[in-house]
Amino acid sequence: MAIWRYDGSFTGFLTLCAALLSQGEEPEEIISAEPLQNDLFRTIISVASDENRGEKMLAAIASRISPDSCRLLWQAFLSEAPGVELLLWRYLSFGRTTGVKCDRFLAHPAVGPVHRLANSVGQEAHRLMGIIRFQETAGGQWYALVEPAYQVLELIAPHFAARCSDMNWLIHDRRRSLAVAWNKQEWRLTRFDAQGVPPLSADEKAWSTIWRGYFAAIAIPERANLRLQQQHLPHRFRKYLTELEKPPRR
Amino acid sequence: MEPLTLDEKIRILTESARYDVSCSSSGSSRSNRKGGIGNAAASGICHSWSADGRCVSLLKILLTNHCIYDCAYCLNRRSNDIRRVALTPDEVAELTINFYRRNYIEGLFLSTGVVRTPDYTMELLIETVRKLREEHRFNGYIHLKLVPGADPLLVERAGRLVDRVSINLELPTRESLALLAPDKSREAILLPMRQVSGLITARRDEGRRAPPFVPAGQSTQVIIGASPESDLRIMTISEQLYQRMGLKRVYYSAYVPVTGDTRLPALNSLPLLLREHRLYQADWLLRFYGFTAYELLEADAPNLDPELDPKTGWALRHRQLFPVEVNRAEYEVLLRVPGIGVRSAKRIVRSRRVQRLRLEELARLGVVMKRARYFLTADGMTSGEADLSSERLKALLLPEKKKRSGPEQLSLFPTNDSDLSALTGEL
Repeated sequence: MAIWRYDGSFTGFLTLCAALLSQGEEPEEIISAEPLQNDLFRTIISVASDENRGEKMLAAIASRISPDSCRLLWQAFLSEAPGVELLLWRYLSFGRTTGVKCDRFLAHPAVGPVHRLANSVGQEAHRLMGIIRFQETAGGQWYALVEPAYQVLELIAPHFAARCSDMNWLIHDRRRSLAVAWNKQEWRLTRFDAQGVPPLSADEKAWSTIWRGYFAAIAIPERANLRLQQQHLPHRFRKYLTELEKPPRR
Repeated sequence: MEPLTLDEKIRILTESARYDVSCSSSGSSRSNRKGGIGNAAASGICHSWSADGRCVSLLKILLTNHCIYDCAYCLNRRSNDIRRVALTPDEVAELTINFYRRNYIEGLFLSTGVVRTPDYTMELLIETVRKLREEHRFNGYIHLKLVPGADPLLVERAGRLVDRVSINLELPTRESLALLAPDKSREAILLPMRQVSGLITARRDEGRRAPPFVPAGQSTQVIIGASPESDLRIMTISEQLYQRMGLKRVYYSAYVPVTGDTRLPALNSLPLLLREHRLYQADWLLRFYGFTAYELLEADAPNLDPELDPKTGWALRHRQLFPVEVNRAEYEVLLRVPGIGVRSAKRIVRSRRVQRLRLEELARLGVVMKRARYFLTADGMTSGEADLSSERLKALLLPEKKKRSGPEQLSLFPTNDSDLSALTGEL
């Protein structure tokens, strides 16, 4: 058995799976980064990403297992969890023996964990749809800064494209130096390294102040329950929430 | 008095609106139009959580807190000495759009005090949502309050513009309403509710291409603890509202004393918040678990047990029905097992078609074995302790005593419930 290596993209991963299948190999490990130290006793096989082969692999999954499986694998892949590649490979191997019934084996160790990962990613995406805050820039564009636990930008882009179709918006994932941007026509995932928030429009401060006032007033003091609030709104989200930022000093 | 700034007006009208519980933004999938702004997500989306732990999904605000009525439980009652303010329909529309573009909110929940007449007030509300829909081309979620006594034509017009309407029952019974809200009649509340219910049914028969009419249905709210009704009485009323009026939700609001009215009981808040929590649990059992009010409560024990959740309480009273075998039991039967919810019951049904489930698999499917173990077998196996006496079993099922002391509100949802979409705007 060998260590298999790909470029970290989903297409790359699918290409790697296709290679494993065609050679009848079983990987010991699947990695995307340079290994920490050269291992003298194990071989590392690198597979170059191949759009065409990746797509064929995806089509094969859709027909041999189900189209839902493709979505499931992609969503679980976006978790970037350590070892997720091997987990997905095991799911695929298991799926080859069961076919379309694969996703009924929810209690099976090859299937359950993939569903749980995909669920977590879906939840993070859903949560982000609510807690993203756009700020209007001086140039009339809308900018949002986030640091999601998973790589969910591509999962939330269609939502904002449909909802905010008349705005030029950009959602910046600072942790991964990525952004999705919408230009009223299409959205695109790009590298994005800008530091700091761009200059804001003249109105922005007034609206965020009104919102903070609203947010403070909507809570019923007699029912104060900061623990429950904390449970729904963990600290990692708070620094990007307009209503929970400390108000600017006068 | 000095004139107020927009910020101050908004703050006052928010404080006046916050006792309306509903915040749901689910159940409508209105889509955006070209050149428009906004759409509705069927699952609903929470945008924040306020310091009382409640979800903030909609901009919940009153158009005005002027009111001609004098309802004893209400902050905005005529006889209360508070600052009265009003926003114009344009101001509310502008505010909504600006909050929405920043993704602060999922939509608008507009309510109001009653000024001049119910019809005049209803027209103001309609004018606000009309501006939003037509002038601002806003396609996000709108929940609009109906004013008791408003003309049926206005009710219908409102319903064509918005996603949800609601009219609050306020108090569970006619008698309590007469005592505490002498200006409002039960009929004035039930009439529009019935009308909306009929129009929703009629709309369903018109086919999918007909223009929408309150696609997210209607809801109502009952104040509990301000009047003497039992939990059984309240649950049977909810049951009827769900069955006969097709309501989407009944909200329960533990009475918070906003007045020193002598017709109202003094607040003993911890038991009341716990009672509210139990009523919501029972309400869930009515809507998603196939229980009836008379199964959960009986005439000689008309109140929910503060110590145990209503489903566990029911199971303890019906031990002859347990244990059930998870590989064979019908979905409806699985739902009645404490520790099995809608989601885990569905997972069981789905996975048992391809594999026999043993105890270890159940935990992986999300069954809360701590509770469920006493009520089920898996492939014939139990985790023992099947012959426990009911007293002993009840003691085992009681939640462990919290280490922290002092009053605190229970979470309406268990912490480990990992599905956020299910929580969204459900309260």
